[in-house]
Amino acid sequence: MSQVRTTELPSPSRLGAIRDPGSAALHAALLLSMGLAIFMAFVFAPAERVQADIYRLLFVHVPSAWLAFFAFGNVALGSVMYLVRGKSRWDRLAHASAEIGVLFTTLTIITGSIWGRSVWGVWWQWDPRLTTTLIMWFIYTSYLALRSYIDDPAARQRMASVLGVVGVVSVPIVWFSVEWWRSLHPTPSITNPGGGMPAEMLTTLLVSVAAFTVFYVVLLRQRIQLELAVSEVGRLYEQLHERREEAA
Amino acid sequence: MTTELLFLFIGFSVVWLGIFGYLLYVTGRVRSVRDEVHDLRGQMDVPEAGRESPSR
Repeated sequence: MSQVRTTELPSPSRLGAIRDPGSAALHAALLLSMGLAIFMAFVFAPAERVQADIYRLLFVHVPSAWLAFFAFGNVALGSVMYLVRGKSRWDRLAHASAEIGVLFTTLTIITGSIWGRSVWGVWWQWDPRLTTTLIMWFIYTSYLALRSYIDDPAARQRMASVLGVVGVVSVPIVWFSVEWWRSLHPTPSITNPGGGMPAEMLTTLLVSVAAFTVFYVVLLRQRIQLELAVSEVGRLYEQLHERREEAA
Repeated sequence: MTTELLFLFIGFSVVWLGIFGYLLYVTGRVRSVRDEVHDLRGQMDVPEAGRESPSR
């Protein structure tokens, strides 16, 4: 009977989600920042002169969009590193980040649609920002579909990495779409000097972005734990299969 | 409640339900896969780190 090398197996703590002190601190930071962001969005930030209260959707819409960009940037980073170094951990980062990015892009589109219905009177417009965001969403859902379609792990990781690098081109296109084409969306008011956003609104927006970024880190850690656990199950099944074949 | 506030409520609800729903889904998957790892290790009689095998 073959000997199973137990040193190759990760300890349960590697698969555990919130057992280490760093993780507990992260969860505490998440609760604190989220509580603060919600308080500021509804109490601290004043009502807007034209849009009144509906503009408060800004405090979830913009952070969701920012996180989608950030997540897809990390997909590109993980993909490039995988193609250069060939280590699976980079591919795990790219895969986990892509899934989270698609989630936040979906939330951006939904909240934007609700906001648009209230302000423009329609759920959807073929506006450059909306259209390019939808295309970005399709690119990364295709990335996830491609991963589930290819069985061979090495081919899957390689193909997904190529798409992960190519797909990130969509991020600057979405960002600059409001400057390149005529759009219903305003040009960026944070990065442009004299953007016109009052200090209370800007502070609330930055706190919301920070809180969502903490949430992204929590989700990413958890999603990578899942990737590790799934690959561990695969390894154990292979070893079990080998043992049974040798015993037979 | 005005239509505007209803839209605001729906927008925030969608975001929070989406994010926490996803977090719960991933956490549940991690738990079930870890249980599977534990079962497989039991079948192979592999001691987990920090634990003695029952047969030893």
